[in-house]
Amino acid sequence: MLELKHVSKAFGSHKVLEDINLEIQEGEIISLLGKSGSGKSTILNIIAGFEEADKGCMEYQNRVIFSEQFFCEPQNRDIGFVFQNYALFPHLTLAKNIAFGISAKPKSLQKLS
Amino acid sequence: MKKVFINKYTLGSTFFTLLILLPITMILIDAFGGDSETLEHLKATVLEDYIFNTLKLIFFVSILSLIFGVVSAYITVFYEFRFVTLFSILLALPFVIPTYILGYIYSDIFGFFSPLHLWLKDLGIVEKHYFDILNFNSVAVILSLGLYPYIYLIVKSSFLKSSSALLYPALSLGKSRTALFYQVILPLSRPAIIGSLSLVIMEVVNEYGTVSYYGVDTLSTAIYSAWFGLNDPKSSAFLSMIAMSIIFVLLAIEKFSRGSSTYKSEAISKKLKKVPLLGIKKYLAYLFLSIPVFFGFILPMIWIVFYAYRYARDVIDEEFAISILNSFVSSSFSAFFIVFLAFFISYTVRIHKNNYTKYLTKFSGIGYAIPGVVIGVGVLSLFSTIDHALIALLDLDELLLSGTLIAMVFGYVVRFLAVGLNMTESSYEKISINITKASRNLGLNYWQTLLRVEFPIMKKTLLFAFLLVFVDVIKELPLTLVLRPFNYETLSTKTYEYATNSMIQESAIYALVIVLLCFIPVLLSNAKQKEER
Repeated sequence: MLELKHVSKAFGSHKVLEDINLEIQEGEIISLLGKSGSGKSTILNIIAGFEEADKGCMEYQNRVIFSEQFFCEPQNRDIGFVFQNYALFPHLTLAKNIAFGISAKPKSLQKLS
Repeated sequence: MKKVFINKYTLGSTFFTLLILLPITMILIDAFGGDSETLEHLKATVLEDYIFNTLKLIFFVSILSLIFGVVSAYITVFYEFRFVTLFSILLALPFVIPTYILGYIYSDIFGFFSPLHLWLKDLGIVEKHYFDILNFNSVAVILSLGLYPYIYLIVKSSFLKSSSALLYPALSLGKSRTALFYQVILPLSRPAIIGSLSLVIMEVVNEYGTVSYYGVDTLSTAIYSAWFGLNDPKSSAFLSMIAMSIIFVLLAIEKFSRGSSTYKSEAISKKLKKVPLLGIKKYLAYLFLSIPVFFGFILPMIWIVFYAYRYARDVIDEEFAISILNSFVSSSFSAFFIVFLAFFISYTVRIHKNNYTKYLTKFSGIGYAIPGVVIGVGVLSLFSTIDHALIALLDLDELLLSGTLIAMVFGYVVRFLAVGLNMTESSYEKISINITKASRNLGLNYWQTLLRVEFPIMKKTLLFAFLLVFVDVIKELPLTLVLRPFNYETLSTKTYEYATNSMIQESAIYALVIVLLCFIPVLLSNAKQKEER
């Protein structure tokens, strides 16, 4: 389960998110709808850890991944992210692109046929 | 752990930037630290001349370089005639000959004992009044011939980008080609013209070899002689401050006049059809384009190759090998540190994009706008202060840092870090931030992402940056003269030494090595352009 509690974010004086509360159950599919600049991408970036919220807290699978005292780095969240535009590594082959995420895991978990 | 802004990257970048700014701070401290007797004397006598000569040189070189650069770019981009491609390439080549080498060559070609002068004397043309080339006008022409390629290359690229989408509508609205040039092309290229001109001006203020040889007293020669001739660091610092002020005022004017417009322009595939040049106009174009090509590249190259061959046996010796080795050692070390720092600072900016890091890069690259001799004086002052503190503290009996390779490499880093930063920053801009995000999302931390993703993508650019800086350091003269260790000769200092000892022709082989190395960036940027296409 993913839970956002009272999450706020501003870029300079521009408030993008204010007091966002969101709960997503396991297996549930959620769509975020809103006009351009309303903060949809910011919410996703905050969930993935690419942006840091100013206030609030977040829990993922009963584990705090963000609070005002704690920030879990993106590589330690175990949250997948599909980018709107290409995010392929240009210096790697197709196979190595696919294997990239696996190579970052501990040796015991690396299995790619 | 909470994600914080103060981390090893921001702290490291701040530390390096402060280090870069230290020599400049030393100059300001020395300059405002009260007047010495020598400085009082300079102010009362020759200071005005130094400033006036520098400004006059800036003015005349700017005018001539603009004429050579902008007109050549216009003719080669918008008109079609035989050999236009050849001219386009040749017009950029004076770039490979450093201006001080150009100055020495022309003093030999047109000097009192030159074959040309002797021949004219035989003909009775110059029996009584030989033409004296060692004067202000010659310096202005020589510097323009060596520096106009900055304007030519940047403005040509701007013309090429503007010669399409915006121009066809203007033509269809009934504008003539002349009106098109003045009303559309020129205003569109104004940022490129002013930007490239500011590079030329920085080089003029930086110039030491030619002005000192031709006996033109500018701020650059005055700073050098105040330190080494009059032995007065205060005067040297004061003159350095004036040189820096001139540059910063001109840069401020450039920024003000540019406003919010940038050099970037959309690359558009459809180009404006070139107009064929016919009749007398074609021959006038040949004549005009031949002047900078012949005097800026062909004639000096003939001279260099001829005398390099002629004196090769006399000059190629152990000293020659040592000066090449010294040049390679100091340039390699400097280029390595510069690329490393540039990569580190650009990386900090990438992961912490905000005003603070933006200013960090601006300040760390400030050295490129400051004349080499000024940086040299700042580094000398800084290192002698550190040395004296160490002597007092550790009871040493000799200077530890002053006059060492460390001081020289540090000077180069301060001066040329901007070259590396430009390359790494523009390369980072081309790598989508999503690539970094994807890597983080797939389990890699910042450091692993840097090593496994960003570094491999950027390694070609880093190599290119290394070579660019390497060549810049090899040809740098004033900074090397000020900071080199005792008896440490490089290719540029040997060229200077031969020239000042009236053995200009013997310097040709040293000049040839420098010029051949200067071809590297030209060839590399051509290869890069081809690859990008």
